[in-house]
Amino acid sequence: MKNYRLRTVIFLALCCDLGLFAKRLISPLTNIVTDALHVPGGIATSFSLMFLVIAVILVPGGFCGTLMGAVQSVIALSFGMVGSMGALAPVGYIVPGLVIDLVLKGTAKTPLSRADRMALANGLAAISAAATANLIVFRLSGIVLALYACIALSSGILCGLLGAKIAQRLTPVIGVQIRQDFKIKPIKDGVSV
Amino acid sequence: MKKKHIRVLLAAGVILLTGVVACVHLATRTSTEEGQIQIMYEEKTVSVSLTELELHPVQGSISNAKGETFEIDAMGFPLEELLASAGVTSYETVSVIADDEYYAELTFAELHGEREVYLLEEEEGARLIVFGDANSKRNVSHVARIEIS
Repeated sequence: MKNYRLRTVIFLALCCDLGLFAKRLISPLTNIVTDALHVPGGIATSFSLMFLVIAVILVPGGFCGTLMGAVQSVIALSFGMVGSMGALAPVGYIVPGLVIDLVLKGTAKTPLSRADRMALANGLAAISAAATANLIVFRLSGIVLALYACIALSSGILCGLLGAKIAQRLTPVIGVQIRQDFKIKPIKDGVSV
Repeated sequence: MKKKHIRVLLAAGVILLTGVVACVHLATRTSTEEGQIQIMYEEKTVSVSLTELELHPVQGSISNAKGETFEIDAMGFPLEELLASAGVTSYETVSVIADDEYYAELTFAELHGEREVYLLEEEEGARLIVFGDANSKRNVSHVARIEIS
């Protein structure tokens, strides 16, 4: 934790808040699609997870995703933004954060590009969020559950690719400085975990 | 083939898969006409029009997952009465299912004294209200069908 300089903490906090509130902002729009398909959601969560993926890819080391998920759950509980999950809402925030950490760490030494890893992390995190919501709240099964998972995966992949573009833009602005704080040399394609 | 092309193909494949699953879901799902609820029991399906039911004033309070309490003052009808009007008298559990497949289960005992269960009339359709629950998790909006088992 001693390596986390103020700018890194501010950046992580900003991504936490953006992730949490972006979901609220985009929900009315995504509900048009999910209502038409008669499924309970999946797209807005993928978008909100994009900010966690961006933060984890730009901030090296540690379990940033899990930590940010935990912080988001505290913010959600304190603002009463727990939805139908109630007291189990922290599970719905922490599990996708952990998945992001594990996927990005697990693929760090693979030949996959940063954009591919972000798309994979976002997609799998979105599926884990959908699975958690399904276990706690929706209890869907069969073709509806398959569609719910497919929507989460495809929107997660698209948001991951969008996140890669944003991370590319952010790298010279904040990524390099964060990497310097961690005394890690910048690498050619930006920063990676 | 370039890496970028593989990525685009994979993303397109996942989106295509989603489209196929969506088509299967939309083609096979039980659709309900607006203003109606389908009651499914013993391999029979009965459609009940919400406008034909006699509405009663429904009053009480419910709590949500955040612990907030809301007062309900609306028009609706007891679920038990709706089932009786459709000829459903003996059952173990009732699944009240929304348009987006979200559902809540109620037992025979809950419908016969343990809880006060109503379907409220709302602009977008009927809403299930279960008075006495610790949270409003079972308050299903946009009720489309009721499955009896």
